[in-house]
Amino acid sequence: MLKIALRNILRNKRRSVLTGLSIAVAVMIAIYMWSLIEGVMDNLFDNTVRMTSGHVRILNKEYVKREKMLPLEANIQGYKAVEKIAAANSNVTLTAGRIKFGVLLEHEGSNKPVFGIGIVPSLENQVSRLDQKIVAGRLIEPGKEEINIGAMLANELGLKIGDTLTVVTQTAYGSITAMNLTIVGVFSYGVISVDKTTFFMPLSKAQQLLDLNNAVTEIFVFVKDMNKAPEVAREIQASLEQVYGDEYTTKSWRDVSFYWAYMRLAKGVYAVIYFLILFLASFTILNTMYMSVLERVKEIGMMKALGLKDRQVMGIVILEALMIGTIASFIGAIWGSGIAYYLSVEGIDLSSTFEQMDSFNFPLSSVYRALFRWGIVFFGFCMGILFSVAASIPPSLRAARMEPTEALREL
Amino acid sequence: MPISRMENVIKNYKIGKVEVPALRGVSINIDEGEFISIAGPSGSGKTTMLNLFGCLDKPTEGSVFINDQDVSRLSSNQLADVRNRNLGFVFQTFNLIPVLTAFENVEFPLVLLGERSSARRKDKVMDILADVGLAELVHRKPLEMSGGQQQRVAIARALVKRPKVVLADEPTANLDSVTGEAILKLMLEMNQKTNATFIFSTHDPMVMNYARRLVRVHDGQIQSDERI
Repeated sequence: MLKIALRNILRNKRRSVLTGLSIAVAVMIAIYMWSLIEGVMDNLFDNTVRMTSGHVRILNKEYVKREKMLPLEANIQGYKAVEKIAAANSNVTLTAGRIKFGVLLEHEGSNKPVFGIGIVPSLENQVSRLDQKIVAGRLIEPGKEEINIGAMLANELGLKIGDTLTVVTQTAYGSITAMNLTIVGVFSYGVISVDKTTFFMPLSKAQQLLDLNNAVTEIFVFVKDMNKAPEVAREIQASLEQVYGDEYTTKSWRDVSFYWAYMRLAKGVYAVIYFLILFLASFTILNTMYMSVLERVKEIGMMKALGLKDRQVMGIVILEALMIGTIASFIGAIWGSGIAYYLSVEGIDLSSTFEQMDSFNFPLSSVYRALFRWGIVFFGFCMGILFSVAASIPPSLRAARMEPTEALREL
Repeated sequence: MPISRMENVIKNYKIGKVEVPALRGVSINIDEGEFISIAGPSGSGKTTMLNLFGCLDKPTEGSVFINDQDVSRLSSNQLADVRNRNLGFVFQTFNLIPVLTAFENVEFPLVLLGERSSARRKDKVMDILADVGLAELVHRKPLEMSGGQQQRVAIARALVKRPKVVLADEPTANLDSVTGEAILKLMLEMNQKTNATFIFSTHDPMVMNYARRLVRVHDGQIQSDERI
């Protein structure tokens, strides 16, 4: 059987190669697209978590209710003690208090509403990785009246390193306050919504500016295994309740991040696309096997006359598709993983495209990087084979239904 | 005891919506070891008779017996078994498997029969290929052989499992007369050597000359049946 199937494939080499090629290309596209999407999703997700919530976020309950307003008065007083309680949890690796506030940034007559974020500069390498995102100048230093500003924001306002600008805002108690800050560095996350609207300043200066002595608006908590974040969030909340009653609440990244749900949906949609690609490619197998079955009417009829059972006829046809499918999927997997690997190292730079899309507000880096995983390659390979075999079933049934009398008929 | 038998067989084919009668009540007994030719013009029903004896088709009415077993109502898989065990086929257009060598083509029915020992298969295949005079060409593929040689392979393939009956549909129609005669001689020789029954359809007078029994069919009925 094996011999017959193998030699039948070789009988029409060009057709077999073309068929195999379409399967290989489909497997390749599925694998590298999938890797790319995974990479983009992971990047999106990582950025979101790092910028907006950490794994677990500790907040004042009042703050949660009016989070959009950034209510500075609903803060965490004596935040160091709260951090200590959180850090006591054995899963916690880092706690970082932050203040997020809205300001009007003024420079040479033009002003613009932006977000200021007060951070502890030395911790930021583990939180938003600001230190790695500085494209010019240096990271802010604690206790100094310095800021790091988003590259696009700097461009828009015509700011450069060394410029001093006046930050005008309201304190936690509603009075107007201002501070002169010097730009020491420009950052670029490659995320429009961040690069265009955000600046960082040292936490202590933010506290001073906003009259928030010894207080922050949120504490980002990072844990060892982010999938355990919801559990850890509950544990920390329980510990906090023992000390503070129900003043504070915790949220894991899963509660905060609507991207999580979005991502799951998007991955589902993309999975359908990979299937469609393979599904379309499997039609070439279907077509090829039909052709090869129909041109072998006499031969199959004769084999049946000799006593070959229907199911054995099916077996030969499916075996042929299986062989083409396996070889083609293997080649496609090599190509696909090659491209996926390349994209995981080099990435695709789409920043110029994004800059024209003002409404593009996802915290997505503008350099797409694929996520290279053998699991994806293997799955793509198996899918290629599966679809090849599935597509050969209708023609194999057709072959099995052929009448042996066909073999005796004069053609 | 007849090896192949038909009892009042009626066979109708449907072509589109029209029922076309191919056999209109045929009864015939064929004994073991016969060398019988079914002759008639095209459309007379000779191929239909061959198909029925070959268990490739079922009668509309009446019964067909092979080796005293009524095969008229068997399923297609059961028929495949009967064919596999009892019958050999030689086709007008040779119908070898083009991707297999002469040796492999002849070996094929043995594989289907479930003969596992490749040594035993090889013995049988080489024996029969020697009998048909092709010992030299065992590794050629069909397209590398002449028509006569291909038909010899087909005869070897039909005989390798020692069937009770060999059915040959116009076995010489695609061969020149010299080669055709050689093939007929070979079949007759094999008939005498193995005592297998040979049933062939033909409208070639030379084939009829070689036959030991000549059945003429016309319009789906037996017109004459003479032993020569």
